Amino acid sequence: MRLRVVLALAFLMAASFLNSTGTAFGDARTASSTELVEHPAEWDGVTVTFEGEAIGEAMVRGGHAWIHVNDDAYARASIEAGAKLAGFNSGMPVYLPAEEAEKIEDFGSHTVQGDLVRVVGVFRAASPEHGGEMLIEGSSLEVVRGGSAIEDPLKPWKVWLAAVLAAACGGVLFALRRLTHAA
Amino acid sequence: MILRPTWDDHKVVGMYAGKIIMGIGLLMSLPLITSLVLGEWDTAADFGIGLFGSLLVGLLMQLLFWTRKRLARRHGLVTVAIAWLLGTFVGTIPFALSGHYGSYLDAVFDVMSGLTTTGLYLIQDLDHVSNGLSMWRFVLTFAGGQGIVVIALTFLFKGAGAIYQLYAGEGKEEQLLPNVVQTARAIWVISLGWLVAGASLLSITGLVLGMRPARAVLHGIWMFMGAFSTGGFAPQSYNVIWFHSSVYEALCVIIFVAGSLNFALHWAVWHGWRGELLRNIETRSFAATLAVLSVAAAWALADTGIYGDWVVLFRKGFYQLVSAHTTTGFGTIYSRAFVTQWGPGAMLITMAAMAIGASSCSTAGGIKGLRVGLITKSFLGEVRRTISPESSRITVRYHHIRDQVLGEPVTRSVLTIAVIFLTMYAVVAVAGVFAGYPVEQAAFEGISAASNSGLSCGLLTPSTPDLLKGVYVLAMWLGRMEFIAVLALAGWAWAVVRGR
Amino acid sequence: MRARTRSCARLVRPVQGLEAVNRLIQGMVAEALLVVGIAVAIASATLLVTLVTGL
Repeated sequence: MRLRVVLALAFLMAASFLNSTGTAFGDARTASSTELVEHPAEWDGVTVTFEGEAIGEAMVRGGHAWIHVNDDAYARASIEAGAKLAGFNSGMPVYLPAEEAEKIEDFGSHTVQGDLVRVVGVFRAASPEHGGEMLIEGSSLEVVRGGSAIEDPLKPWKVWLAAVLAAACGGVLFALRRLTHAA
Repeated sequence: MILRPTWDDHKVVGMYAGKIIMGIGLLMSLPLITSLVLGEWDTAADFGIGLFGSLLVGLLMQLLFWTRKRLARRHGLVTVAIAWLLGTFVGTIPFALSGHYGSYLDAVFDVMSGLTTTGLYLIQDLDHVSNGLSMWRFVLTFAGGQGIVVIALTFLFKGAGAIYQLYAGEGKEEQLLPNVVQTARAIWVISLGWLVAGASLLSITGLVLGMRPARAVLHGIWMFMGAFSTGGFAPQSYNVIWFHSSVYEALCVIIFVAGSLNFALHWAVWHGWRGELLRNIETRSFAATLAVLSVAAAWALADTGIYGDWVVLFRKGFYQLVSAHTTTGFGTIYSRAFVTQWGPGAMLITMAAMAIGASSCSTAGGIKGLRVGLITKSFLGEVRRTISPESSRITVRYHHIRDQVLGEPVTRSVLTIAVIFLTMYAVVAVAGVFAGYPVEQAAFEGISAASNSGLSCGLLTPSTPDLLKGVYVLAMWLGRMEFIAVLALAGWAWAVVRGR
Repeated sequence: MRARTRSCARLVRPVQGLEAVNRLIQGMVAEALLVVGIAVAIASATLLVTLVTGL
């Protein structure tokens, strides 16, 4: 009997501890950016888990930072990295403590596949503190998979084609000059 | 009796169009240099191909169609129409080579959208695009806003023949200076002045907001180009949302409203006639319709209850309305939010703003404030006529740079163009409905394209039916040309077939 | 629109150099103030609307 009471108490303490950190089982629902944008009112104020590629850069302002996380088809591999065309980018802006944002090393760009990050925070459909913006007020961030450099090698046939076209231009320009001066 | 154009006529058109195509090619040197400086070798090669390819087309046209015959009135408009069409096709070369487009039509769409300063786009994975490609998007926008003919007039022409027809064929009719080439250069001076001031302020703001220096400067320049040409392209898929800053938004608003003003107005203000800002019929028309529509939108948004207080409601509501009214197309809300948060009422009001558009002889689109103002004055004049004694003579006056009297021919042409615009809006909206989209979304997207605004409600995606994309491309082009040049081209083709 | 305006040349006396830059800046400031003025007016109207609708 005493064992059951102790176990029950331990369970309750663990549950409330995990609840307060916001990472409890079933507390933060996973959401995609498409879902959030399509049904903002339903998700307003809900704690969500959001995962995607961190792109661009972190803009640090005071103790907080703005990042942008894209959970589209290019989050794991951009077109330069070989992904197939699959529509537009899609993601969410995240406003979170600067020290959380500092965990991100690589931000997605033309030459970089950004860190894949998982953010936990509250979704706001029209945040009053941030001028009515739709965003996630992040409380924590973890890097799920580090980013990498993307190779976009120069294809030799392009150089040849450009050279041929340039030569052709030269030829036509020469012919044009002769024509206009002869007149 | 329709006179069939002679082979010499075709040659004149071909030769001058060729010169303008060369201009498009030369513009590609800017993204080429950007890519070389930043080590984006593959992108640089794309632009090398594009640059020399365009130059080759332009040079070949000049060689094949070389003639000593001078450019006459009847050639000018057709030349502009052909130059814009061909220019669009050669401008797609770097886009097509980038791998970011689902089809050639998508690439054509984006070039037309850039040149016409619309701002709708079909590029995929924009957030991973090279800086060179981004530069090309904005150079297209800036060049298109200035007018590719204006550019050609500045650099490539020595001024012979009916150059005014080329200039006017692009939708501008104001002559700032006696010589059209001088006018083109004057437009440049005004734009470059704004470029230096605007891009600097935006770059500095970007730095303060926590952007890395290279990004702050590049984005500052690009956002200026997108704003001043009332374009609507932005470097990231988040558009203006990216910056999360009311200061950045405010600067953009100032820049894009300035860009939507008549160049003749800029000219007058520059030379000391600041009172013109308040007296001009276009400024008054714009301020009046913007105020009415903004208040109406505020009412509609207050009803939805999505924005908790008036400051937030103003910041979001006003930004979208002024972006629509100047036909810029920058957004601080998600495209889909027009549908999921704003609703049909606020969307209709935004559509009205886009449809009216901004000033004539500017980078903006739509029916234009001058026409709306003149139609209003004409209507009020009619009312006065009916209530006045039969023998009285009513004159309608307006102020546009100078005090002027509104006569019958002007009223007639203004009404005609306005009706053609409204017809085009209806046709594009119906096309969207036939393609299977809800009517308010089809109308929103269609009017956005036809007025060269660029706000999207999420309808346009790479998987939109090709036919509808084609309709939008045509609408963007017709809207930017204000129909005349395109109709002239159609008339030319008709004359070839049916003339004697 | 055939409302052709005659050239503005007669309104203008030639401006050059530093004075031109100065005038250009003044012009830009004037236009910026116009935009701010319109925005302030609309902001006030928006406030009124929210008061009336009871936001």
